[in-house]
Amino acid sequence: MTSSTENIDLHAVKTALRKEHNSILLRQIISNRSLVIGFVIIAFLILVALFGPLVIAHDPNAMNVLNRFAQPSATHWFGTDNLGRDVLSRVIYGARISMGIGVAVAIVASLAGLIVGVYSSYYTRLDHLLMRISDGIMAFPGLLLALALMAALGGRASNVVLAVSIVATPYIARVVRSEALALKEQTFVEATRALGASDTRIIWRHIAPNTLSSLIVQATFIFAEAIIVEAALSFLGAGIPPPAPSWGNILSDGKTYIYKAWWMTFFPGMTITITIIGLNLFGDGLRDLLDPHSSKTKN
Amino acid sequence: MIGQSFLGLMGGTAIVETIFAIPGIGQLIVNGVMRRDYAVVQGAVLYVTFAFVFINLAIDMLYGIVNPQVRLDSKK
Repeated sequence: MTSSTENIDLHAVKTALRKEHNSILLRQIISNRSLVIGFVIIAFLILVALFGPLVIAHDPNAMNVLNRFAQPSATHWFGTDNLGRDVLSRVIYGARISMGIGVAVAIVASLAGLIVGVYSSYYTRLDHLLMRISDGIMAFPGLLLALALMAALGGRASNVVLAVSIVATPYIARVVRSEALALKEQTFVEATRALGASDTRIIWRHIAPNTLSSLIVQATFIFAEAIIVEAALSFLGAGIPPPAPSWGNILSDGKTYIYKAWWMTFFPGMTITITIIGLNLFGDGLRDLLDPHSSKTKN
Repeated sequence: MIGQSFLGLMGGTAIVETIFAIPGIGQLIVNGVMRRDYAVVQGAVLYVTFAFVFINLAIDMLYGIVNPQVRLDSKK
C-alpha cells in the first residue's frame, strides 16, 4: 500500500487539480451573467476610446456652420451640434477623457485608500486620526466638495482627478480597513509576527494582498462614480474646460438646444448611462465571484 | 435611509437648480465657483455639511424613540 501511494506522480496530481480549479473558475465566470454583460460593455467602450479616433471620419473640433443642427444621418450618426461639429466624434473623443479620468481616479483613490486603510487598521492611534479625517470628508456631499475643490484648484483634467480622488478615498479606506481589521486577528498574521517579521512586512506582504479582492470591487464602483462626478462638474462648467469634448461638456453644450436638437443631449447621455450600467454590472458580478458571502449566494 | 439619501440629493440640487434656474443653495455654490468667490463656496458647502451632520444626529436620536431595542444604554 505504502509503495503504491509513493508512486503517485505528485506533479501530475497538482496539474490536474489546477486544471480542475481553472475550469470551475471559468464556469463560474461564464455563468455569472452580470459579470459577462458588464465586461462586454466596458471592453467595447475601452476599445472605442482607444481605437475609435483612428477610425472616425470627422474631427471632433472641426466646425461647419453651414451644417449646424444636422439630424442623425448616415454621414453624421449622432447628428451635429450648434457649431456643426460631429457629435459621434465628440462622444468618442469624450470617452478618452471621461474614461481616462475614471481610470485615473480609480487608481489614485485605490492606492491612497489602501495605504490609509491598512495603516489605520494596524495602528490604533493612527486609526482614530485617519478615520475622523475620513468621517469629515464623508460628511461633505461628494459633488459639492468636488465643486469647491475645483473652485480652489482651477479647471484642469489633473485637478478633476485630484478633486474626485479626495472625495472617493475615504470610501475605499473604509472597505480596506474593515477587511484588514479582521485579517489582523487571523492566526497566520500572529504566526508571522512570532517568526519576527516587521510591521511593514506584515502589512504589505500579508495583510494588504488579502484586501485586494474587496478593493478591486470597490474600485469599479469608484470608477463609475468618478465618471458621473466628472460629467456633473463639466456640465456645471467647473470640470474640463471647453472645447475639449468630455461627456459632461457635450451634455452642457446640448442643454441649451435640447428642444431644437435632442440628439445633442440624448447620445452623450445614453453613453454615460450605458457606461455606468456596464461598470455597475461588472462590479456586482465581480463581487459575486470574489466574495462568497455576497448577495447571490443568499438568493 | 433618509439621512444617507440627503447627502446624494444635496449634490443633485447643484445640477437641478442650474438647469431650471432655481435660486437655491446649489446654484449659489455653482455661481460662487464660476466667479471664483471662495468665501461663498466655503460657507455654502459648510452649511450643507452641517445640515447633513445635524439631520443624521436627529435620525440617530429618532432610532431610539422609534425602536427601543437600539436605544444606547449608558448604565451597561
